[in-house]
Amino acid sequence: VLAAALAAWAGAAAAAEPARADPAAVDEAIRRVFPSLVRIHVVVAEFRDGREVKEEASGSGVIVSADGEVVTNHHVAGRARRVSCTLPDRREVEAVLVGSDPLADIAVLRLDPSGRPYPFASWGDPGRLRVGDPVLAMGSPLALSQSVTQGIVSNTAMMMPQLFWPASFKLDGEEVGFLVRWIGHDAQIFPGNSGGPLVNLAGEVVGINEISLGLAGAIPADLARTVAGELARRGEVRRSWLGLNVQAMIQGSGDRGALISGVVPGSPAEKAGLRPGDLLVGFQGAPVTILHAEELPAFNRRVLETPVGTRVELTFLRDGRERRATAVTVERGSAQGEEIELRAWGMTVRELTLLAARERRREACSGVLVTGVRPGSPAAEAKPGLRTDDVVVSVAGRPIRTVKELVEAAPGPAGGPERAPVLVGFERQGQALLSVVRPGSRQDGDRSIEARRAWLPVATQVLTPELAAALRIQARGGVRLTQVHPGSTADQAGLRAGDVLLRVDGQEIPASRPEDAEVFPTLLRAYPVGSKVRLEGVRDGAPLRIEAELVASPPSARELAEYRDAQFEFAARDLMVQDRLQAMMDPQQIGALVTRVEAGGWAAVAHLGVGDVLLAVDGERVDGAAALKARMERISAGRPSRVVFFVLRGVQTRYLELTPAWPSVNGKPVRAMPGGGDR
Amino acid sequence: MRTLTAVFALAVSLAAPVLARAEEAGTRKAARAALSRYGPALVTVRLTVKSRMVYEGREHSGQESTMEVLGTVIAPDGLTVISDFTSNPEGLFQREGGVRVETETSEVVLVLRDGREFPARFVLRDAGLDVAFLAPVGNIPPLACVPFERAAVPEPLDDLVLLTQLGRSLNREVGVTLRKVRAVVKKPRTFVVPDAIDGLMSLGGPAFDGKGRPVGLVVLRRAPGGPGNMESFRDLFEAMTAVVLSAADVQEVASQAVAARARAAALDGAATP
Repeated sequence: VLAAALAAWAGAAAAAEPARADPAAVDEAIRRVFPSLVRIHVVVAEFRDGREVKEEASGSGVIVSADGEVVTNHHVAGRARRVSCTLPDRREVEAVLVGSDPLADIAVLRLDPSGRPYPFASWGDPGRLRVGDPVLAMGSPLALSQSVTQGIVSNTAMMMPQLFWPASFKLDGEEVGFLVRWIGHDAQIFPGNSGGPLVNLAGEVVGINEISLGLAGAIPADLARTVAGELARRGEVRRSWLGLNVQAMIQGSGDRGALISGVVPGSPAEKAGLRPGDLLVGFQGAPVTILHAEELPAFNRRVLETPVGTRVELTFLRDGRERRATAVTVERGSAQGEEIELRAWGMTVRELTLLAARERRREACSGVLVTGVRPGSPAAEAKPGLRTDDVVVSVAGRPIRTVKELVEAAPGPAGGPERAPVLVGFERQGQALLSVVRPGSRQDGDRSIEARRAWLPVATQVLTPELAAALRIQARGGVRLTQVHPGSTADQAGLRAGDVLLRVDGQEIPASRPEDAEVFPTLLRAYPVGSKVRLEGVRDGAPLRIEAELVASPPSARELAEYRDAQFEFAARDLMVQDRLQAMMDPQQIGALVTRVEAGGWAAVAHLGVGDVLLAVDGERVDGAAALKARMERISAGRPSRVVFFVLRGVQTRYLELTPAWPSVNGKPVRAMPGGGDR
Repeated sequence: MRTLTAVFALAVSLAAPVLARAEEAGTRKAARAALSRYGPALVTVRLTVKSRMVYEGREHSGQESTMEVLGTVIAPDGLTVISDFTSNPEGLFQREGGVRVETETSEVVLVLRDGREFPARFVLRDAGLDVAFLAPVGNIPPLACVPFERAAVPEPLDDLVLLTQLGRSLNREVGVTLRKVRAVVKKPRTFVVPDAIDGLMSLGGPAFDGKGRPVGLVVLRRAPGGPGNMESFRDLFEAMTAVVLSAADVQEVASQAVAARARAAALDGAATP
């Protein structure tokens, strides 16, 4: 995603003339690293419009230990609900997310241990790279299998250009480039390359590809390795925070120090007495000089990597005088709390972390931030309705400080129209508002029936004057049968496709233009269901007289039995006559017609399609929605790792292999929706 | 005799404008009476719909949105009729093969002008006539309604009174418009065509004759066989026209809606533990 977005920003990049390196060295480097490349397929959770939705995406990664630790980007796998990796030998291996760090954009996966030992790559020293050095970008661009491009190091200190101001890129609230100074190179990378290694000719990983600005940018291996190591050990990265914002010195204001541009109220830096305008010249006894923006990430890293709770010495200049202060760092935490969906409320929320709270001039854990509201949901329909950026501070009189407290205070789903009201206090733009929310499950879908009318089970076309003349029929109007439903009353009465009908019970059928297509059905609609009508017309040039019974028009698809599977995220209903006719199926065809396949759901991942006819599940025949429901309920109880659907698609049948991740006992139910893409 | 004829002609010519003015005044009075009597029967129907695209079997996106459409209550128990098109506008643009747009309704609420809200559900649709019926879930206090069983069928150039509802920005006030009947289409069924219509906002509203008697419901009449290529606005206008569906036709389908509602309510009861 980052690669694609930034490339689009940068405009059309000129095609790079590949640098030529010693072919033998290139071959050797590829030989060393290629076996450890993985193509990563993820189903990730995204949050939109008050819902958690799942998307499929693809990225790259590199195995860095024989145990199967894979390093990739946070933006590839950080929100993964399911991960599988394809190795260069085509093996597909399930993986779990060990930890992820949006600030460095690094994530660590662990491959299924049954495949150990895994081939792995070695880390190199990015500090030894020089502009012009040949490098290889490896990965799975566009979800292709493992691929290699070649280029040179173009920049050893690539920064996010200020050109794009005021726009900035953020990953889960973290500013991209705050911590990272990329290795810029011209080996081509594409969406899907993200997380793949940048390799030197010694066959060492010197970076992890992350962005493309025309030039590609890789996270230096030293940073990637440090972060990945901590993620592998602890599942998270602990960092220090002082509440100090610094920027490069203003030109002409001196040749040492860093300009303190802001101090967060209540932060350790403020408590230590620092103020905006001070010049920071020393940190922990070491001099600080930031004359250019390129030097900022390194300083940020020094502060962040200081152990949490350290008493740090700060030396600064104020009014030309050097002063000293001490501050105790606190744990920084993440920029944003974890986002979750409250389905009964129809909204998504996240906790206010230290940083998020400070941005809103609040205390940490002083409420729950609303991040999205589903239209039509109880949260949206409350008066006043909740909105994105509201902060929920109380429910039913109980103060709410954390997401956990909100979940515990929120009533569970209650079906039906009568939902228990709950008083909700929330803050919006400085106002303390109260509202009444009625959390509960949504109504069932539209199950209305279609109006019944007397109907002859045939399809027709209007008998235009031109058609009548060509068929040598003397008539001012009528209809020609184009289809007779097999086994229907029309069929039993002896009607055939090709018959021309001119009169109903002696009354002419006044249909002579294509716009008159509804005339014949409307004539019939005037009769009660079950009536017998006398039809007169022409068959093969001879007069035709037939009596046929009118039946009730068929039910709409809405009225048919439908089964919705919440785990695999698809729906299927009984087949009806029209389905068989329109798809030219065998009239006796049985099965369940797939009507919904939620994008990102396990059925979609297995490429089940809307319109497929489900014939069997794990070898057991399915003859309709009821049978499918019974079969899937047994499968749900058994929780197998693989389920095989046998489907009819067009005239072909095929087997689809579904590999669900069953929710854990305390796990959230799987939900789904649209999208897909390469990262 | 000639003199008598001349006198009669003069009398008629003098009386005509007076009679016309009286007729106009009578129509306005009837229109105001209809507004007063039946205005409360116009309700807002709030729908939460999710539309999705299906292309070659693969489902894409699923934007959910809330929309409000005009409904007319036709029975005191809250049975309400709307133009089916207004609840499923994407259906107009469905194509055979290729991309298919589908809409699913998840929440239905009747909103009265006094702010009261009642959860409701669709009970019956007739896509061919462009009507959809919905009913409150559970019992509600009796509502004002338009009795379509006492219907009138006007002639071309007769007066036509249309009631419609203004939007939220105008406090959902009910508006009234005086129109003339431009045509009465007889085939394949009776449609009364007004000389002008206030856009799609009128769909789902009732129409009355110059004496204040119900004529029918404003619906969207679509050309058989779909909208065609719609390469120009002319194609669009030819393919779709707002017309008044006769009260008799509304009543015919409404009788099925009553039965459908009863069945849905019975199913609710059966599902109750």
